[in-house]
Amino acid sequence: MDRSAPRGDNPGVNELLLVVEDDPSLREVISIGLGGEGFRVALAEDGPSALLAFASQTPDLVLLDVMLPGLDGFSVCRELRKVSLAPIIMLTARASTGDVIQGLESGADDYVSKPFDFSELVARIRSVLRRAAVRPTPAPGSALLTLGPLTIDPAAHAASRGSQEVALTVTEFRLLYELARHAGQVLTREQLLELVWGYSYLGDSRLVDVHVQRLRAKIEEDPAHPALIATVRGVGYRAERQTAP
Amino acid sequence: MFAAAVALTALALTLSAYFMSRSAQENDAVDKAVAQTRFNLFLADSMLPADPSAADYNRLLDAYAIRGDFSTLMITGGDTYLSGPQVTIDLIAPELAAKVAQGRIGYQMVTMAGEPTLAAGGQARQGGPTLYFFYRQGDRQAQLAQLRNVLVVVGVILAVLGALAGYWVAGGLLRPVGRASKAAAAVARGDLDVRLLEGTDEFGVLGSSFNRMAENLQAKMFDLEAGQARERRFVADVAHELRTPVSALVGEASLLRSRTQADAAASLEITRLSVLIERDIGRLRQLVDDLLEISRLDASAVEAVIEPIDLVQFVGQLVRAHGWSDTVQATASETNLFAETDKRLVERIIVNLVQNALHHGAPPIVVEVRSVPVVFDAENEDQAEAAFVQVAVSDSGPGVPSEHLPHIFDRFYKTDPSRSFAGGSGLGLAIARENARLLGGDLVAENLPERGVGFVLTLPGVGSS
Repeated sequence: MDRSAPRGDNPGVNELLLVVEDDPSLREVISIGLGGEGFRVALAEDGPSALLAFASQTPDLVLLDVMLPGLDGFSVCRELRKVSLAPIIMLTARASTGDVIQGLESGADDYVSKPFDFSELVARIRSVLRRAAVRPTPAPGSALLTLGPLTIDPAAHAASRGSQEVALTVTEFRLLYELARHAGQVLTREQLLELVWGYSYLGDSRLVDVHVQRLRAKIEEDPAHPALIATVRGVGYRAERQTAP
Repeated sequence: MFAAAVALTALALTLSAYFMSRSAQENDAVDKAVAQTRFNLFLADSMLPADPSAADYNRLLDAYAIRGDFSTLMITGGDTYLSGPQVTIDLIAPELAAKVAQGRIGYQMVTMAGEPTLAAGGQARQGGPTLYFFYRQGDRQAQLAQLRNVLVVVGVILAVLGALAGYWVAGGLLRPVGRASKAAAAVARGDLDVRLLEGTDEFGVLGSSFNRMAENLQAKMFDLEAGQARERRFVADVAHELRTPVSALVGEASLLRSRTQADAAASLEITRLSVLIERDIGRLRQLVDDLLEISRLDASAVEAVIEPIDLVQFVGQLVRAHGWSDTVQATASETNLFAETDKRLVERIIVNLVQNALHHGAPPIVVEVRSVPVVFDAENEDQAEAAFVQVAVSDSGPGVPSEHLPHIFDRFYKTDPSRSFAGGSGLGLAIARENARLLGGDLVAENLPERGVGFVLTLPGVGSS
């Protein structure tokens, strides 16, 4: 395990990142690079040790390679999702549609494809961490948002149906929040990529599609016939404006 | 051909049947007339006394009138007896008269009162009266006409039936030839799955040989394709294996460069070297990326997510996002032009074309979005109504020498062999074209008069699918 010294340019307690990568060189260079960016870094070289390290160290974010010996990245991701909502970024094969979709469907918040630019990796990590850390400022006068039977509390970063909390990852929550905040209005995939993922330019619209699917699975009564979040073909998505009770 | 021959034969048979029955009827009529004449002469010989009077002659004529349906002309010495007004002495031709004068029975076809008539004559006895009998043949002619009509109908039916039967028989003989020729055409088109019926006759043997040939061809093609697939898989595997070390290298070089630049103690040379390392590893990364991408395209592993995209807006976005506003001019024939396409793939194509123009051409670079209302494609009727949208990227450089133009989409093709790796992996345009085709469009290049190279990307418009 390698923990780099905290650096001054990142205020507060430095986030702990768990890097799961089987290639020793890549593992080390990621570790050095992320350490240099001020993160604390824990390392794991395969699936089982990743699960162990996660349990013992509760990192703030997991950077997970898809191709791992033994237990692959998708399985690790699904296992982690059973116990945690912590942000996960997958390292996938470049532009491999199958890998990207499978990674997102197994619960990843975002992905970076190999070979990656270090600056891009850091940007993705920071974006996800910001989503988790920064509470979206609620519109003045309405602390709580509602969408159908859901109550969304931006300050608490939580959504609930009646008294029961709906377990959402930071990305799912942010997506729900942005859609609900713009209820009745179509948000394009580009707008959502910018609002939720922080891509200022042309991100991968599949991120949006897969996350909407996952969100629907958690909040819709019948995810195959969504009543809360509608698809507007060729444009994007729209949270249905609430009808007066 | 065969059918026509059969029809002709049927007609000839019918005609000969007609003529044969006509001549048989004629012979029959002559025989009857001669027999009747012989009997009439015998009757005259037995009825007439040794020296007959006019009354005797008239009694004989009466007897003839009762006997049959023939007319009579009797010449006795100087007198001529006629049994009816139609009968005249003019009907008797001199040849017939001469024959009769020799004491023989003669006959001849004449026309009596407009009716075909057989005239037969002879002498009743030595020195007796000369008798001519006229047997009307009208009925027989009518029968012949009827027969002819029947035969014409039968002949036509036979001809038609014969033609059909001939066609069928000929088909049976020629069908294997037709099949063989069709199969050969299919093989020529590249369809090696066709097979012919095999057997022991000539066609069967031909079929066997043909099938062996097709099988051998197919096996060769299969080997060739398998070899090609192995080669492609090898390239894909190489690129795949390179990915992880290259990822590590990219990270290491980038860290090395940033740390060196931040390190005041590092010499200028070291700093410069770290910059070069990062840049070259960037090129290596580009090459690995492109190899991976083209091998994925070759393996048809790239899936397009098709949605309507406003290319006018999209091109504007791309130009701004890449910071090309100073060198690239985006124009459009309309304010919105939608294509049914995949955004990521189109982005890759356009970015590639613009970068290519920036590297090899000269600014200003123009990206024009325009519509192609209707393209008539004779080979594909379904697409006849399809509207297309085009994105044309052109630069203001000298263009590409025309001998290189047909090859610029080839993999690793270099217009100038001494300039390796001039800002690209050598796969960019090949990838762009593959992507364009994957999207149901195409990418072509041409030299523009007074300008540089013009690349035209054609994509299916909205409503064309």
